[in-house]
Amino acid sequence: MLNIVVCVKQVYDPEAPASLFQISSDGKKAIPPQGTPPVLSPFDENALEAALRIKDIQEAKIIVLSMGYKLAKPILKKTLAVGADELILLEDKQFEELDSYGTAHILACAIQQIKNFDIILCGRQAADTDAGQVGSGIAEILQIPDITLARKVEVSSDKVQVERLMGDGYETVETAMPVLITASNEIGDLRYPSMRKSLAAQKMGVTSWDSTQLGLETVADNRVKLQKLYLPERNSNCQLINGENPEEMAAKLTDVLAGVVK
Amino acid sequence: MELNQSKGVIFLAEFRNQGLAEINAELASVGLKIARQLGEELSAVLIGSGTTNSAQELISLGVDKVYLIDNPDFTRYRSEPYLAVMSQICQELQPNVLLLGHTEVGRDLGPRLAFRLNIGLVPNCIDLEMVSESGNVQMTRPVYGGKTIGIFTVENRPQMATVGPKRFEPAPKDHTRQGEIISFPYEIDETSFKKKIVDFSEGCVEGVKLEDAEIIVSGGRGIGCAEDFEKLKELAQILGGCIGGSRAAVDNEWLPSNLQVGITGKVVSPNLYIAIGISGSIQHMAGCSAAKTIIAINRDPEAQIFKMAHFGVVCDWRKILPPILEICKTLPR
Ligand SMILES: Cc1cc2nc3c(=O)[nH]c(=O)nc-3n(C[C@H](O)[C@H](O)[C@H](O)COP(=O)(O)OP(=O)(O)OC[C@H]3O[C@@H](n4cnc5c(N)ncnc54)[C@H](O)[C@@H]3O)c2cc1C
Ligand SMILES: Nc1ncnc2c1ncn2[C@@H]1O[C@H](COP(=O)(O)O)[C@@H](O)[C@H]1O
Repeated sequence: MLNIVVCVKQVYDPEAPASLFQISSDGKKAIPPQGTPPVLSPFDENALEAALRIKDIQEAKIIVLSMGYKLAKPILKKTLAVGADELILLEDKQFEELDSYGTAHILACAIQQIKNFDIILCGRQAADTDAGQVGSGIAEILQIPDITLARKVEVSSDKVQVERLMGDGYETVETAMPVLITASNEIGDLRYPSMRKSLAAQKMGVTSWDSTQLGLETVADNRVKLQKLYLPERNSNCQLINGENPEEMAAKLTDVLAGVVK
Repeated sequence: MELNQSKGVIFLAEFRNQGLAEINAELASVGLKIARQLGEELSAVLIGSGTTNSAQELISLGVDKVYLIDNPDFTRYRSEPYLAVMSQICQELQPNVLLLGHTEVGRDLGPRLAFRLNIGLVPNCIDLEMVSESGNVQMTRPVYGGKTIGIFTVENRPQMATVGPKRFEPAPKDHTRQGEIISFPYEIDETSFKKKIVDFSEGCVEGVKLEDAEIIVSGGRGIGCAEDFEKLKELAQILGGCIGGSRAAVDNEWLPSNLQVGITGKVVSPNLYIAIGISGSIQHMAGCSAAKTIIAINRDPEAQIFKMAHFGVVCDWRKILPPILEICKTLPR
């Protein structure tokens, strides 16, 4: 049986309107608009879908790992509703503001405790950090190969074949397991859970580990220091082209075009 | 690595299809700025096969020293040998600042290299500036998809960053410049590598590459179907430009994924970007905000894109595109 670990991060809904974001007075925190719900980071949903597609065709156990502080259990239980077997939360006050370096160390430590793993799946980047580092970091710490930007994963006996995106096409990379793979949206959207499974998932228990249970004496220091956050300037001098009808607007627009293109 | 021993700014040059990729001139320009601010040298690492002319070209872009790994096994980027070379070079040279492009190479190699060197990495930087008191480089990058901008520093050496494409003015070429080309001995031990590239397909994009296009006609979810995308292609063709689109267009399979513009797609900086049926999400605009002129066509007057475009038309694109095409056909070219 294959053991698959999927790392799923909880983030504020990235589709919340950008113009309503604010920065805390110390300049260190982004404050999303009020009422923005926490969601699973979108590429992590793709990573989970990749795991489920493997489980569709062969025997596999999927463990979902999520690290943070005061995590929203009902949101994360969606992973159980779609077919993950176990959800482990890594929750500790000290895990709250870790950078990619610290995060990868905590996740790698938890994966080492799980012991049996053939495939680790991450998203290509988290929707809040946009860093794209934690996956490769975990692989380096565990000394296993990593394959980034997967659009398709196929498992055969002890090997995986991964199609990975490139700027102008894709390449197929093969390696023996264990392996870490980062998923891109091209892998496909996460399936919907049935109502029955959603209800059942809410009743399932979850495991929680804090730093002591992970056997960590200290949490790795951040390597990257945030000095300050600010809001980008927006140029809102959009010149609207008006007209009585589409033909008139088209005429005015092509005048603009002619000016730009010449 | 000892702070005071670390010296010099190094970037990984990107060699593609027998020549230097565009990002090199941008890396040279920002690298040179930081090197001058620090009063240190700028070096480049060039890995490839048949690279001698390109090494000379790097010198004309402002590089003082080029470390050359010329090996017939290095025709394509592969993460494991690049990782081995780069970590060896960093160990030997102990650079103060290490830059990679935030390109398909840098995105794949950068994080793993940072973890191997046990240092932090600030990805996708849009600005780098040395702070004179501390000698630290301030690294500026978008976070939350671009909803906010963060300024970061790192304590360890090398100070590592990946540089966002099209963010820095390319360095001008000066062919009279002198520099040193040093060949770096490196033997590839294929047996130590665990990954194998078994196949690759270069997607066939006809004509100009999206990243290099001067005019881009881009479509989003508002286009509605693959057939209707053809009409956008017609406009692109008349204007002599390229077609692109939002992630929604790609997810619907109206466009191949290598034509996606945005934070997880291509970063473009054309003269003209025409966005049709695109709402203007921050993740999309991160890929096209460097365009000189952005024209938006959207039927929703409240669409975000009107906060960022230079010209806008509030209209159903189906109604306005046919007359635009008619008029454009009559324009002299
Ligand atoms: C981590 C992350 C990374 C992402 N990366 C990218 C990326 O790289 N690139 C990217 O594009 N997106 C990216 N996205 C997705 C992004 O957030 C948006 O969901 C996406 O850009 C929306 O695409 P759209 O504007 O085409 O669609 P929508 O937001 O649905 O907008 C469609 C627009 O079309 C208009 N419209 C509809 N019909 C018509 C008509 N007949 N005439 C005129 N206008 C019409 C509507 O008014 C609407 O404004 C990313 C998201 C996340 C979370
Ligand atoms: N706190 C977290 N908990 C679980 N997984 C995470 C966490 N942070 C990052 N990851 C995983 O690492 C990927 C890359 O994150 P990042 O390097 O921050 O862009 C994410 O898509 C997740 O799969």
